Amino acid sequence: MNAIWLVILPILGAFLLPLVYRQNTRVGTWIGPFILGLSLILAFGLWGDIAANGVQTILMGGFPAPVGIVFYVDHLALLFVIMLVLGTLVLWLGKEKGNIQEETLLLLIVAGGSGLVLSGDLFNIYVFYEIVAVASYGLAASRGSYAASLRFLILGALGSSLLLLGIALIYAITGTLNLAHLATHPEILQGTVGLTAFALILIGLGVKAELFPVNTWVPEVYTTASARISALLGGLISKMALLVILRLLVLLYDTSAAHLLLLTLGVLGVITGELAAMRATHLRQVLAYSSIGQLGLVAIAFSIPGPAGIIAGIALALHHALVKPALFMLTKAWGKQLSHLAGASQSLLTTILFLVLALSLIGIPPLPGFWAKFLLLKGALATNIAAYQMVITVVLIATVIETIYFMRIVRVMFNTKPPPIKAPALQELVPALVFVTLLFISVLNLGTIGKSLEIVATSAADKSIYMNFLPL
Amino acid sequence: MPGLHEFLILAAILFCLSITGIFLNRKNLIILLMCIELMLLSVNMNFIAFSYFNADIVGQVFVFFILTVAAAESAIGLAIVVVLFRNKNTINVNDLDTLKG
Repeated sequence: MNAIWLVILPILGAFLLPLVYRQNTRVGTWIGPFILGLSLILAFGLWGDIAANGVQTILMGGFPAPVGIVFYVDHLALLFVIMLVLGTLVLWLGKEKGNIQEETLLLLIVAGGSGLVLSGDLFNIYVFYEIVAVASYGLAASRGSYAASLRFLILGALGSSLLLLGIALIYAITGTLNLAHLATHPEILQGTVGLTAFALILIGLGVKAELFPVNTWVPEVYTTASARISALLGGLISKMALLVILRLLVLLYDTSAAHLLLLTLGVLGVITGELAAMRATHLRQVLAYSSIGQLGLVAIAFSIPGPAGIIAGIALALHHALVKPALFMLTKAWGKQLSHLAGASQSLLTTILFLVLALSLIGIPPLPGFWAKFLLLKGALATNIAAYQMVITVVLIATVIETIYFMRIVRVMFNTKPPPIKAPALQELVPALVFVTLLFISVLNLGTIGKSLEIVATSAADKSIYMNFLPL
Repeated sequence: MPGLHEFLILAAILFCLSITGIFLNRKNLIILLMCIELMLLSVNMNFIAFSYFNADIVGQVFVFFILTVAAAESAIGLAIVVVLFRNKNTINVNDLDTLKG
């Protein structure tokens, strides 16, 4: 068993899919779910393997480090791969059949996302990031929203050249791009040039991670793309970019300046995202802006030094990856002006789903959202650094604003005066139901999940494990 | 033989030109895509210069990858421009600002 298949399988599937469709449509429709299921089984198998034998590295084709491609497979990376593959598989349920272009791009984006988190080399991170980016431009344009997609492409291309510039700077001052090599001499990168490179990389990756200055594409793409695509981009792909930022922070930039930079971007993201969500008049826009806010919270958590921040960040990311796609799936029939939602409470199932998801996103105690936010507050309090303790105020204010805008939507839903709108089709609700079931399962197993997250985070925060696998 | 500084200055000039192009060009979407391409190429120039003056051949391998990736990006960009032109009959940047969806 080899982690390389996690990338190869979806890429193979993506390029075989159109050929198989031409031969036999029925077989073609099953290729996507089959490949994703296979990747999922493989990822779970690798999880057990790593728990038994420790972290693995893979040299592709046996070529040594600087030329060869290095994969670093640990629990944290696998967790995000499982999240991406499982989420895409669930979003596949009830999808209309026979949309070849969309299915190809979906498999491609899964391959890119898995490669992004598994890669142990800055340059491959760039290549996989571009695969994700190109696939997401295509997906954003798949429902005739060409202008939004083109604006996304222009911003994305600007971001990736800044990312590349940052990587070029690191290459100039160190002469290597292998993360394990770089981690042995982090002091070279502490100067002005190194920090500039980090800022450029942060802006570049921030386009996908919806970080503060480069997230202007988010509201319009999520409003115009189909619900499944918005769910995928906002709920799953954005976390992959954030994980790469976390890796860079832990391995290369373990300094207060870099941590504070990410913290600042995160805080600005939370404040602007939540305030904009309060003013938005369109359900999809509310969800898009709230997604900016939630990813800001994840960025804040990752910027806290030490394992406590990583635990909180993973918990927030996993929770958001369950809740936000489910919420987007409800918007197929509901995704209009908020005033159109009057009388939506007529369809009981959808209303209950919306309430549970919104309450979890706000952070009401029995639901996992509370637990994730609690971990963030705990991690921030434990640092004894003034900047992080002030963050607690930001998180609490964000929670209050979230309560205001979600409860305002709920009030409109229970208002029955105008003729009620039609409920979303059951086919659209299936993924949402699955996500909510996963949410409830995680409520019941909070203890075990917490313990395993702690193990994952402590091993991820320990960079000596990474450096032990220095390929020579 | 010019030194590292000259190469970096040339790359910086190209980068600034492309940024100016993106912000000043209000006429044509194709020019916008050309500017994006120019930006990636100017970063490429940095990579080649660094790799030459570090006496490390790996940087030049990266450049091939970047060229491929940049080609993929402009391909999808042009594809979107083509469908946009078929639908809205315009490739004017000013129209793009006001277009919905």
